[in-house]
Amino acid sequence: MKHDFLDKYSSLNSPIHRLDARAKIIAFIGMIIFCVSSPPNAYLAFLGYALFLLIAAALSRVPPTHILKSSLVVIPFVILVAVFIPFLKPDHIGGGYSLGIGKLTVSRSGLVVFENILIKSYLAIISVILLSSTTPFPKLLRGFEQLKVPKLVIMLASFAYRYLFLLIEEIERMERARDARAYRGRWLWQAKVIGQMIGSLFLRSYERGERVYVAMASRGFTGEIVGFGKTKFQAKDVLFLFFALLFFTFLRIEV
Amino acid sequence: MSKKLLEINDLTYSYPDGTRALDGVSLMIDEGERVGIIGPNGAGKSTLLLHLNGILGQNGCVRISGMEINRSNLKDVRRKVGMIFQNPDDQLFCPTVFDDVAFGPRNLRIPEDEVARRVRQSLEAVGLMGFEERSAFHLSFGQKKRVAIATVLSMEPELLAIDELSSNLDPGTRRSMIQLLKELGGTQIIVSHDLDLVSQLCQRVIILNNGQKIAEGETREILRNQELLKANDLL
Ligand SMILES: Nc1ncnc2c1ncn2[C@@H]1O[C@H](COP(=O)(O)OP(=O)(O)OP(=O)(O)O)[C@@H](O)[C@H]1O
Ligand SMILES: [Mg+2]
Repeated sequence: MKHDFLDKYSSLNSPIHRLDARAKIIAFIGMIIFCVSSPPNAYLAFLGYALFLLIAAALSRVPPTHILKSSLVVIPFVILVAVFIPFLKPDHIGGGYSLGIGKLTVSRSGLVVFENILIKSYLAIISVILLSSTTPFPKLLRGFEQLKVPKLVIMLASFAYRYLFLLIEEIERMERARDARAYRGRWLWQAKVIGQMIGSLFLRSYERGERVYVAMASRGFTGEIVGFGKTKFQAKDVLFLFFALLFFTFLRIEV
Repeated sequence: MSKKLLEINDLTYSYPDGTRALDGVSLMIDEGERVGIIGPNGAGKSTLLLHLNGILGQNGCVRISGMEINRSNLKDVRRKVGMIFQNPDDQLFCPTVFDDVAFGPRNLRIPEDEVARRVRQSLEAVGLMGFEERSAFHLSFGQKKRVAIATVLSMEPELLAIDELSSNLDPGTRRSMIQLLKELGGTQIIVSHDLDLVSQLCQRVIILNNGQKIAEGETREILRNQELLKANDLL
């Protein structure tokens, strides 16, 4: 299938892949919380978190190029937001560097914040990429469900996962049909065609929603969500989680 | 005399926009029978099926094993009638095949180990063992159709109602689907345009057109009546 980017490496078989989804969710998201709450100059701690991610990545056998490529998709957004901070933050202590362009100054504390945001968000991004590329989406959902995320949220996410690709295919089919009928012309006309496509996409999705609902009702769905099955926590999951959290706590407090 | 499983008595239905889709349809199906419903596009076949488990109105015209379908027994009715829809993508809405097949039993509040047993049994029945953790999106159309059948088998229904069994299937898959339905046995209602499939599977057929029952009888005799078939756009 061509739309498999979401699940490309999540079904490999490695020690990390075999861990219970809950253990991974808590460890990788826990790492983000520990990391983000560290003081800005805790460089050794950042190195520690990076080490953790490096070991996990190596054990998981997910190709490093995949991880790096995925992170490159996200990081520009972070930079886009963070790049203004050094210019906005007035500096009371250091006085800042004047750029000689009107009133524009770069402040030292602003630079520190900028650097801090870059480091922390990059670590967080890698952490999330590792979580999602070592856990198939259905298991991730089940894990979140067992961690007591509301069932309605889980169900919405599961529908999104299930029908996103069908929707993409539907759009592709419509584009093909449009191009087959020699779609050209002035932009006003194009805007009209695109508007019609969006409208018909909405209608199709709406109709599919009704048919899916009928199929659900036919199998005894009454509006009460029963959720997916349970998985069991094993010794290795407990151990992994224990040592991961111990390591993070150490980094947070001692380094 | 064998037991009646399904009784429909003078069923009339109009969609909210005024389209009269069914107009005084009556029919009866015995336990263990396999009955075909044929008719041109827009005849009302799908609408008829949606009445079998009370999706469209519960107006007292439909009885399942003697029980009149009404609001209070919908849950029982939906366990007894397994509905397989035209497009399997509408029926497979869970992240994995396992969860899809388990959806019905879980709604019936069956304990999880019994659910797992039923899922295994249903997937085995449709020849898809080992597909539990796959996502429906990655399956072929024929496989999706089989999973869709498994999703209702797991509820252990008394009546299987199947809409457009063979549309979009290649000849080989179609043949194996016919084989599968023969093996499954039980009481089945099969809606189709595929006269050859109906003649292979069903002892009895009903012709539906313009919301009305046009003819009913032994498959061989009905399918031999070329004029009748032509008059109803089936040939
Ligand atoms: N949701 C709806 N709202 C209004 N009219 C509808 C709706 N669904 C079906 N109809 C109409 O009811 C009639 C019967 O439709 P139905 O889908 O039951 O036909 P069918 O025999 O299943 O046809 P096909 O072979 O194309 O599946 C048609 O005239 C159709 O246009
Ligand atoms: Mg139909």
